[in-house]
Amino acid sequence: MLAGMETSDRDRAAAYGRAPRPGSSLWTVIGVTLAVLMSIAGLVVVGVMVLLLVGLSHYGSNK
Amino acid sequence: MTRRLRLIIVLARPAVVALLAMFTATGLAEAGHGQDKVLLARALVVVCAFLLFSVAFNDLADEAIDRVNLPGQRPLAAGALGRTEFAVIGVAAGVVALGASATLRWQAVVVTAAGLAISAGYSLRPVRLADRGALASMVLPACYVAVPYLTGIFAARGALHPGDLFLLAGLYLGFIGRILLKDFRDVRGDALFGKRTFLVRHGRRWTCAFSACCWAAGMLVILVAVHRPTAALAAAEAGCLCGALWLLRRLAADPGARRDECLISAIAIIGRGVVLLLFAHLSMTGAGWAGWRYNLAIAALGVLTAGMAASMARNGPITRTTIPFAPAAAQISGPAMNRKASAGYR
Repeated sequence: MLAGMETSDRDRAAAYGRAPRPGSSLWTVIGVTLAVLMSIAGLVVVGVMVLLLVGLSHYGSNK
Repeated sequence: MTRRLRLIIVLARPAVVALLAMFTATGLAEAGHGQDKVLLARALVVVCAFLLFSVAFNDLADEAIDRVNLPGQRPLAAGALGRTEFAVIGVAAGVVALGASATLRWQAVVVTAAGLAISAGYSLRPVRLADRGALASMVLPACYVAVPYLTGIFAARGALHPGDLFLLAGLYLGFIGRILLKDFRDVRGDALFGKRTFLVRHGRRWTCAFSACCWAAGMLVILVAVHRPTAALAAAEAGCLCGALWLLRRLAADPGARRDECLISAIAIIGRGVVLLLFAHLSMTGAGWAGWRYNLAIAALGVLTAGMAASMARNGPITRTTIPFAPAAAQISGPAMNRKASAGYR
């Protein structure tokens, strides 16, 4: 019953504040651009790691 | 079948997989093969299997604590998988880790076997290092840092140089400074079940102070140990250190549970940024980058890290809108459900 259920927008706003959604943040755009440029310059693995850093940066993590 | 595969992917914790991938890539770059995608993929098979082994046995050992600290967030504690299945997943992952490491070099097998033994000792009784305060905070980074980093190095070459170990020491010290903070999320359940973490034993201020010392020492060792250090790298890493220390100071002031989450997540972003800067430096110097192109890339990575950390500290993380492993028959009304949903912090 509970699995898959969504909280309401009001509840989310109250609980989680003003966090930007993935893809909407200026830093995501900058990070993805940087990753693409690094890959074009030949450092593909660095580009992938930049994408990982950017992808994780929206989520709470203690590591 | 699809559901079980999804459970296994969630079990491995994608955020931790990404972090360990960074350490693995840094090990490869230290050995001069930072851009070798095939070697990286082979090393990552070992590292991912090792991680799956570790989290499976950790979840088995912490099932009761996870019910308090992370309700609905861990598949075992939520009943989505049984204990037998977890044990099978753990054992199979251990076998895969050892088998994949054998395709690299015998040194990688030794590192993997030692890592598996330490990881089992961390979670399982009678050793159960997880209950032993500062010792736990020193052992866990050994698994999270040394295993992927050394696997990366041994994927590329069979010998360790003194500089490799110094760099490992720097990464290890820095990671201790971050792993100490993970206990803020779990402090309620840890205290309830007698898990004597550093935070439970010494309190918030001393935990933040010790973390700051580890951050500073780790950064110093990294800058001393890294090959061909540059002023740009030193400036970027020093900026990261200043940001982390400032956030730790705010964390020590006990700003509240929600702010704790924001600050710790921001510190984690800076920690990952430090590793990424190091990896990028090793890769770029290995590829012969110098001058404005190198400086621009390092500056961009430093600014990106600072910007993302500042955004996290200000806004906090986005969290999932559903409870991943909530029991299907649960009858929990609105406020209780919201409390569960707010535990999406991993």
